[in-house]
Amino acid sequence: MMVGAVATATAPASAVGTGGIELTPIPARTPDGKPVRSFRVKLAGGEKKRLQFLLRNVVGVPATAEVYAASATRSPDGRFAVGGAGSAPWIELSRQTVTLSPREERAVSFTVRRSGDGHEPVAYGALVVEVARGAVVERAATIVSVARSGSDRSIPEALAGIAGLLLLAVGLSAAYRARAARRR
Amino acid sequence: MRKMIFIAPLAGLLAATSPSPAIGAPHGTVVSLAASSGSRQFFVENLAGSDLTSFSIDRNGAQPFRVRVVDANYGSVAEDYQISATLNNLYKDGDPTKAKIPSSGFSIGYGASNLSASGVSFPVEPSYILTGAVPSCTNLISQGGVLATLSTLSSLCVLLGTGGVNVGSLPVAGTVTIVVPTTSQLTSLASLPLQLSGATGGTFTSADYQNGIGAGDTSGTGAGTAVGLMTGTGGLTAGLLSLITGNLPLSSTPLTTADDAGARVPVANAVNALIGSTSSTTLSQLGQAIAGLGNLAQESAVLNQLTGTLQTPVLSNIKELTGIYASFPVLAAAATVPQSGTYSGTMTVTFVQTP
Repeated sequence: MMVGAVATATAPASAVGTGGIELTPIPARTPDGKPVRSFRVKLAGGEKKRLQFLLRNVVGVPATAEVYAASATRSPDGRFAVGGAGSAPWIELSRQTVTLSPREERAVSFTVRRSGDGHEPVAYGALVVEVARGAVVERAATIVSVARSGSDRSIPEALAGIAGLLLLAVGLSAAYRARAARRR
Repeated sequence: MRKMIFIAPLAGLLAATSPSPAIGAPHGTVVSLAASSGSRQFFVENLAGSDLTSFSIDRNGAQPFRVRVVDANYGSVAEDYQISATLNNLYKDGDPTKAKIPSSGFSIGYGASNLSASGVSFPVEPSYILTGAVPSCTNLISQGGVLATLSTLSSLCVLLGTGGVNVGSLPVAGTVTIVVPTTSQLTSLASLPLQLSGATGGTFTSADYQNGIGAGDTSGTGAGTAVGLMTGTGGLTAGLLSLITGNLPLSSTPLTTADDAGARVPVANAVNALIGSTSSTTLSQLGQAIAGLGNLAQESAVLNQLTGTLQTPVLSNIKELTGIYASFPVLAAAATVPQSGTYSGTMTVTFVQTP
């Protein structure tokens, strides 16, 4: 979802991109001044977080690119493999074609929820700026990492699950007693 | 002979997804306009430097191309990146429901020259430790020159008294030096702030079913084998350390000068370091008293009573990066073609900024 143009007092230090459009997390720097080079969030079960990034046209002519979220997997040697558009549904960012005027900047927001896939302590995804040129597709990806804390279920979901188990136990017990009574 | 041409898939797809033609403008434009704000852009090109849009090879053919990363005043030196490629199966007539050539019939290889760096420059702001003492004004005035006219009534002289002030050990930022490696130094890729490697190449063993034409093939899943094209890793090697220290002013150059020209430390940096000292009120007062002289020549002469010792540079002393980093892969085919015709697929080259 586009949320409008923004003016940045300080230029992003770690923007990356292709086709003249770059993407950088917002804020671009940590409180102690270090560049922010990826999105890192920690989410409990059922929790969501809204994040923002900045798209910036760094060329002197209009630039167009596709922007979307994708899955990412990290191999033991630290290499990332990034999936296609729509492969990370836990990152809520619809695939969109973005055209920016020369030097235009635009803030975009998206929502991250905890991935239900796998049981790794950290789930990886990516925000991708893509430019397709015939048979060749160029993609620049910025990693989104979600650290899981606690159960995959939210507290209401967990309570509902416990309540369901109790009801099932009561039902089974009642059925057993009724069956035993009939036998007598 | 069965001809296999790996080309742009469909005119309609091109029209729908190709960016404005202006994006293919000379890449120099990208660099110059981004220079004031810091930029890292990534390109896939043919060897002439134009945007790569297709490969046209037969079943045993090969075609070189170029992957390029351009840093322009990029402000985050320690950021690593990886670039890899995936490939669809190649489909007859670009139709994923028709006959296909497996991606495993294709691989990325390299010639003698696989990686290069050019146009590299980076500003280094070294750190020094100031030690020693500023002596009494009697001593300073006796040194003559600009110090001969020091007023004994100045707050500096009052503060220094008869014994002077011992500075102890005070860190201070030095003069920024732009390091520009020579052509021969650029051939040593391990001596650059962003060390290049990762041109591993390899076979596209598994096909990419998530991007391009292959996304329409429901017979498989997965993003396929990612073949490494280039990795940039920020780090301070012994070679880089030698390169940096070799470009910094010699210890025989003045610690400060009135106009900062040829100085190891700008006057303002030294004065501000003293003023900002949290370890000693006296040092803070000394900084204020030196600034209060209102005469840069005298301020410099007073500061030059101290000794500045260069601290071993660390990566954070490099403030930003400018440079062009290129990989020169060769896409090669060793494929069995099931039916005569033209086969098309999409190669996706992905740049990942690693966290």
